[in-house]
Amino acid sequence: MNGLKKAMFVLFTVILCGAFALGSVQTASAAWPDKPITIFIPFAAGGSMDASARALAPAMEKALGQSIVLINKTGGAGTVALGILANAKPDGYTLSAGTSSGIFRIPVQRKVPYKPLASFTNIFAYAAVSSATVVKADSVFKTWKDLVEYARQNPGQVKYSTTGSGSPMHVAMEVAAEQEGIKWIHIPYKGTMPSLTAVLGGHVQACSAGPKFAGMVQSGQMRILAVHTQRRMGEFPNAPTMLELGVNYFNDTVFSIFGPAGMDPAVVEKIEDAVSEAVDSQIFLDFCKNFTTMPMKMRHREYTKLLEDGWPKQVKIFQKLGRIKEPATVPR
Amino acid sequence: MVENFLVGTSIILHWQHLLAIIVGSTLGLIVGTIPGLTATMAVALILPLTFDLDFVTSIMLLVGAYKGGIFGGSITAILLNTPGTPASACTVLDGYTLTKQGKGVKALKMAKYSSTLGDFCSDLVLIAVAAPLASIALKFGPPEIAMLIFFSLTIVAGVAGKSMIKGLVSGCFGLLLATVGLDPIMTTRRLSFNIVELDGGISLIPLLIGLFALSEVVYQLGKKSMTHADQFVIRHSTDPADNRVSWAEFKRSFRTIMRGTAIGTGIGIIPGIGTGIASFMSYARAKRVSKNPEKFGKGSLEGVAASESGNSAVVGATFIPLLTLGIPGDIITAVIMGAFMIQGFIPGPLLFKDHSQIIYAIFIGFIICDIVYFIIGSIAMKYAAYLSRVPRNILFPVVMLFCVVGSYAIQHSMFDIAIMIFFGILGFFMMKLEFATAPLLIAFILSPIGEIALRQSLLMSSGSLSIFVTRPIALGFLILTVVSIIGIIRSHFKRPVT
Repeated sequence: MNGLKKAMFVLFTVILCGAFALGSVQTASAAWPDKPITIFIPFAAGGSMDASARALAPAMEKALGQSIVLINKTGGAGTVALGILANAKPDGYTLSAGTSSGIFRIPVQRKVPYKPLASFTNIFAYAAVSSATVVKADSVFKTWKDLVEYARQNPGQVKYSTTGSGSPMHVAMEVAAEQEGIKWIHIPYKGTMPSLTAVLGGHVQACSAGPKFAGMVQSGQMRILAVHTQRRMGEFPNAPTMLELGVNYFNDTVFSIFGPAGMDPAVVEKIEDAVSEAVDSQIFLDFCKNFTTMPMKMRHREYTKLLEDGWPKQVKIFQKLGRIKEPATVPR
Repeated sequence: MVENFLVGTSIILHWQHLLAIIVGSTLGLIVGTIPGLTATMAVALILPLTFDLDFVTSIMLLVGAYKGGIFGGSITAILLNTPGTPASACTVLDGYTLTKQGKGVKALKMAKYSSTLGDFCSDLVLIAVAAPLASIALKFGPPEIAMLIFFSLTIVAGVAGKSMIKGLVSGCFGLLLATVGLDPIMTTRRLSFNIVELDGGISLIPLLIGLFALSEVVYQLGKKSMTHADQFVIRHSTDPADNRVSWAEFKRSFRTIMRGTAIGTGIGIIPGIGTGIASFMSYARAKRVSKNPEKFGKGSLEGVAASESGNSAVVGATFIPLLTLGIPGDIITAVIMGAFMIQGFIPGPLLFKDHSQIIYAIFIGFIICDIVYFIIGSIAMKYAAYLSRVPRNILFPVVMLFCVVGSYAIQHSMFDIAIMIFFGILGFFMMKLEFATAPLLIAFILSPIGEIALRQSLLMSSGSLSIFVTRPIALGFLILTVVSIIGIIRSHFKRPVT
């Protein structure tokens, strides 16, 4: 039984090592920031969220005079990182990038480990995300109307792909279907690229896709039927918005910086200023151009209002679509 | 095309680009060697450094890290039973056994040859026939992928170990583990016991490290070591034949390498499958057709060659859908696609039209990469062999430290360390009870891809199973699956009962 004893000893040592890693205690300070700041990125490296945070960081570092440590904490459509942030110390040294979806779209649909409207300081929204419904360039559907009319005459024949269930891209299509009184079939994929690939391969007729659709359109492989932005996009001035086509929906997803609730207002203001400066930096503007997102500056107060107003709006949308009866998470 | 080649060559032969390849390969090799730090991580860590570099330099840096990282994983897989990346999990099976027989250096050299060869051939395919192959890959929709994964699950039989039943139990447990987390279609919580960290599913890397590396450490410490000689884990054979790959041995494995390369390339072209599966598929296939299948798992050089050629050949091929259509085939190419976009190059058909000379420069860079990491790998192996002089009361604590650090580093998560320890304990008991661990891993890797493809197919067909027999490629894989299962059952009953 000597072997088992040794084994137990080994396991104990491993656990101890782990405990040491956890033990890096952080202390708050008046002279914020006097040490590096950690920002979680809730999505995988190489994606648009990741690239946006990495594009902001250099100018923020310059403005704050401290280095910024970016850590990818993926999972749960961005909710895992927010769940950890909610329990972090509000000392301004732990922040997270994240989307407005993490506050008012996902928590409405399923229970998340934080209180969407109470767990965070909503510091700054820095970019608006674009999305669109696209088809293959040689598709018989030339316009949005073509697709809708075909779906009306052939119920359940039109299949479209999205990056996942409950995403704004999914909601856009379902709101449209509900309004037009038609039925089309949603095929969720894991990520925007796979969903676009499905259109290229002819496995679905249309794709409701996030920013990466732009590359496919510019290279002539796909055609836009409708963009989901509030106004027409500068890159594609001829593509109509869903609002223009009579669908009462636009994708209001923004990229933003969150902190835990209860942060010092002076620290919040410093971060606001730093992000605001970073949004003007060339490296960030290049990111926006390459990833088809629109730079924006929405400070703490305004952004918090957007999220608080957004909550009941989202609840209503999902109730109308029959996806929920009551919101899955308590907002406060 | 010839002109593009010449201009491309003149672009790539700048010292900055060559330096980028060397630095990238070296970093990749180092990161890949450390358990838990994967090629994906090497590439992701280097990505932010490329923002200020010119386009070709940054891509070469990343491609070097990718190739070096995949290869680096094999070194510790062979010497320490610690796969640095999922890609080299299969190399463990025969590689570590060879090490225990004192033939570690031989296994490393075989890995180097088959890896480089697999990589090189796959790059040639990329350069020669990228465009037509990519359009074939697009035909792989959900039904085709679902059936491909079904077929791949038969690999489990090839690595089931002594008892087929125990192997199947292990495989089924892997399938079950993969269902933990949010389901991919309706995002319903499954088996997560209200633990938020489990919403994203069980992380692969901590599972991998626990199952192979930590369990081996615990197992080894459970052994009695009375004499001084017992202290050395890696026995070093003094027989020169055990420290090199002879021409005859290479020739014997050559068909296996070519087969592995073909499988790896095929898997690489189809978006979303990955290196781990390619190496296991190549291994299972090699075992099936080998003249000495009984040697597999007991220190077969062919086994190492199959796994290594399979995983390396994926690399070049994953760039086929990326460069021709703008579709990243796996996580690493998705990161590299990010690098393209940050620099303002949108991968896709236009890239070939507008920047053909730069693309050819990158192609030639791929080949140079293969040569560079062959050389760097040779140097690294020389030093890796010194591990044999480290007694195990020093070596194993170090390995264990890397197990913890590696698991933590993936997502900076304490929870992942707990996962690693859990699978370390599980792996230990599985070893004691003679359950093979490889089936669990294979099922765990395959299951998520298979599940989403299966459910997407059924959504597309409104629940009808006919979708799997009316599409030719899907039907083909279905037939292959049936044939392969019948073959396994027949050979199982033919085997003399002992």
